[in-house]
Amino acid sequence: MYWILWGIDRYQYHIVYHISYLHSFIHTSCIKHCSIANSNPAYEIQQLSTFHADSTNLSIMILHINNMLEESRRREQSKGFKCSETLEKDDNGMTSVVFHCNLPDEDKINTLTFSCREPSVGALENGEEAAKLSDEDYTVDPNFFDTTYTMAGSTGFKVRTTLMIKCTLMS
Amino acid sequence: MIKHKQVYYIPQVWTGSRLLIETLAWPNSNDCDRLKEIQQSICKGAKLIELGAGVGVAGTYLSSIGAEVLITDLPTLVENAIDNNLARNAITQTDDDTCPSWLAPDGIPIGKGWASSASLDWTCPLDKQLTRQQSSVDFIIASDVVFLSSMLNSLLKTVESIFQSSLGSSFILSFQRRDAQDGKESSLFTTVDGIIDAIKAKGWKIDCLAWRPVSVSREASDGKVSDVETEVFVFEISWK
Repeated sequence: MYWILWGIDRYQYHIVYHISYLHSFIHTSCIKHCSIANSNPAYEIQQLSTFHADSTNLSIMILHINNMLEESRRREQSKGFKCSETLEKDDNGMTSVVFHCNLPDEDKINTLTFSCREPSVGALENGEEAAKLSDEDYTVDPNFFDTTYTMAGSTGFKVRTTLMIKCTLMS
Repeated sequence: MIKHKQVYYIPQVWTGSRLLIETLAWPNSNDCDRLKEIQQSICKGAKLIELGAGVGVAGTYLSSIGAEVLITDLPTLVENAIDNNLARNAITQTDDDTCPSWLAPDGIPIGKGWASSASLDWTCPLDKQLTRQQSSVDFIIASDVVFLSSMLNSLLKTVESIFQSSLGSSFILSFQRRDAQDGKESSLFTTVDGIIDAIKAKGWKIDCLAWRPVSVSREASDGKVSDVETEVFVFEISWK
């Protein structure tokens, strides 16, 4: 017999099973860790039932847990890692956002910088300096995309995700 | 004529890049053994290819701590974003100024490692775009490159081609959940379930190396912008 506890979540499950044998004092409880990505509950139950075929009572309980949100894999912000953004204008008057991030081992260089077209999205933590573009900063650079890429060329860099999605769906 | 096959994303930094960098370059005492192994390998000069690099943050960063990285994306991004960013971060921290042969002749010293760029379109065969040497790597990395469902298949086809010429390699993918509740209902956005199903269908393994709750701004159809809470993941995907 087995019980399935369904609905806690969907990415990993633990099989908790209890085995007892007739005329024996052996009672064992075990936990088997399984990932739904790599197996399925029905197969695991079949394997356990086959392996413990001589048991008089094999109780199996399946506990679903959210593997992808397993607490031990949760990562807080790394101490010492800092990011920020500034604005920069090039010789042609084009404004870009410069994303800065420091290195773990500060030797000859301690910060890397990356020129981006728009401010980052969710990449800065509380207290880290963020850049804000004004409407004038959203200048279209006609040379960025090839001439055949008219979607990008006609809308510049302020292409919104929704627009991209619509164009993708049209294809 | 609109070129529909190519999907663009705005060259900017997303949450996935940050978590990928922190996970791979900033060891934490709670990291699992497998993650520690990957971190050490990267610092000791592992060969990486970055797919859909955008502005090249993740690949450039990992090269600066010791890796050899081939940073790839569509030609226009390589030319206008990645190469410029490699040039602005070019500086060596090692005595050895010999560019690794697989990144030559355009390899650039970045801190303790090396990086180079190459154009790569996932909708075209890999062997027509990269040399055998360029596609033989220890790790494939990608930051948040499959936010649309339509991108997932072509990405996985490219990854499969690289796996075939890089036995023992694995694919480290960061991914920010974008749909409201996740699950199989979203037809536009790639979901965590969607990724797991696609990986299972190929008979590959997937594990979560790290995750973090994040707050991102989202623009509604009426133009209003609000912050939403979601999660960002770093997965390791490998052949069984």
